[in-house]
Amino acid sequence: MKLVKIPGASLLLVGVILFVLRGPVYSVPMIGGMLRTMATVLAGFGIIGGGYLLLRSLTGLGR
Amino acid sequence: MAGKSPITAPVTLTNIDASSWEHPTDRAALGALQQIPGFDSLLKKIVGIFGEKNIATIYQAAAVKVGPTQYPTIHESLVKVCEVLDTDVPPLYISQTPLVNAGAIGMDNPFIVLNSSLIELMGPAELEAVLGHEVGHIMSEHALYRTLLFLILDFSAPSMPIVGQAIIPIMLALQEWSRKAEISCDRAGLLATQNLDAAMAMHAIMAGGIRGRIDELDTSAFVEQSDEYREATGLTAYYRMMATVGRSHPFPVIRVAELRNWVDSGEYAAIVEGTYRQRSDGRPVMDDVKEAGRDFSDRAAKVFEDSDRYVNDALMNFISAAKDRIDGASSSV
Repeated sequence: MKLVKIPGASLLLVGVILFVLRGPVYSVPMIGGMLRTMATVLAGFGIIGGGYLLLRSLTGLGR
Repeated sequence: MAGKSPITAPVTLTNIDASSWEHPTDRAALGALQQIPGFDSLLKKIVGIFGEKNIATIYQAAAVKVGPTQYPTIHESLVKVCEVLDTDVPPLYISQTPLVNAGAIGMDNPFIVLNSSLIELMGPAELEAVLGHEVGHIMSEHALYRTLLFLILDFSAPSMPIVGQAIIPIMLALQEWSRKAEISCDRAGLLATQNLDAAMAMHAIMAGGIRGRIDELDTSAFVEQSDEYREATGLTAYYRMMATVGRSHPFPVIRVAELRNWVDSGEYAAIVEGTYRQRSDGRPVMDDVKEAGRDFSDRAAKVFEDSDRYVNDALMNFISAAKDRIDGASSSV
């Protein structure tokens, strides 16, 4: 079962959530810096990947 | 272990151009660099005089030059490989080194170096695959173009701090090209031997060959290992990607998988049957760039689609678990 019918929406959603969480996770003692870096990389991946799939499904680009 | 000798004699690929087997990304990069007029031949001369001669002299002094009377069987293998790929026989040196490795060095007068430990581990067919791989590097002139790009980056990056940061994506792109150049030359190794088992066994040996126990290696089990690695999803796929981006060489399991994909695509069979680019044809640069773009976009789309599916499944599991918990809590009240 698909949570959202549009391709890429789940990935984009998680990317945006991780992007928002970058700030709060930085305050975790000791590993905050590492968590923020990881969240940034994964958020970037989610936003770019999800955005790409979403755009592709909406516009037919690259098909 | 499988692949000790080819089943039939390999077909000679008369006048074959290296672009016939090059990976689209590698081919596009090489084609684009060859468009810079005069720069490549100038660099070839400069590095040839000041750098290459120096290295060649060291090998001449400290390594053994292979010839008809010195390691004649290895010389025969090199001659055979060069005949199949229809190219000149480069000088070949054997260096007493414990690290299992081989390399093609130089631009003006390139030569091949095999470390002695590599020869101890490889059978004749696998050794031919290694030689084919190195001859492939020479035919594609990888040394020249890699040096050219790294020089440009070295001169431009350190003097300007902001440029230094901006150059990171270019460095990553160069690593990606370097990995694809290795895949191109694995294909050259396969074409030189026309023995897929030997070409794959070579990677198994490079990954974990033990002296005296090579017969215990099983190429088909290594192929299964390669499939397992490629099927990784979710966070494992993320770690796999992060482990790969900074490397100049692809992991051996990836190289085996890429080789099999290339054979499955039918391109290998077409070349062996005689359908390939001739040296006189030249490189259709724009077509190569388009093909590289398509290849990159297809691979990126597949990674994104897999990730989207994984994230969707994870979210669904999370939602259903939360729902069960809420239902359980409300029924107990």
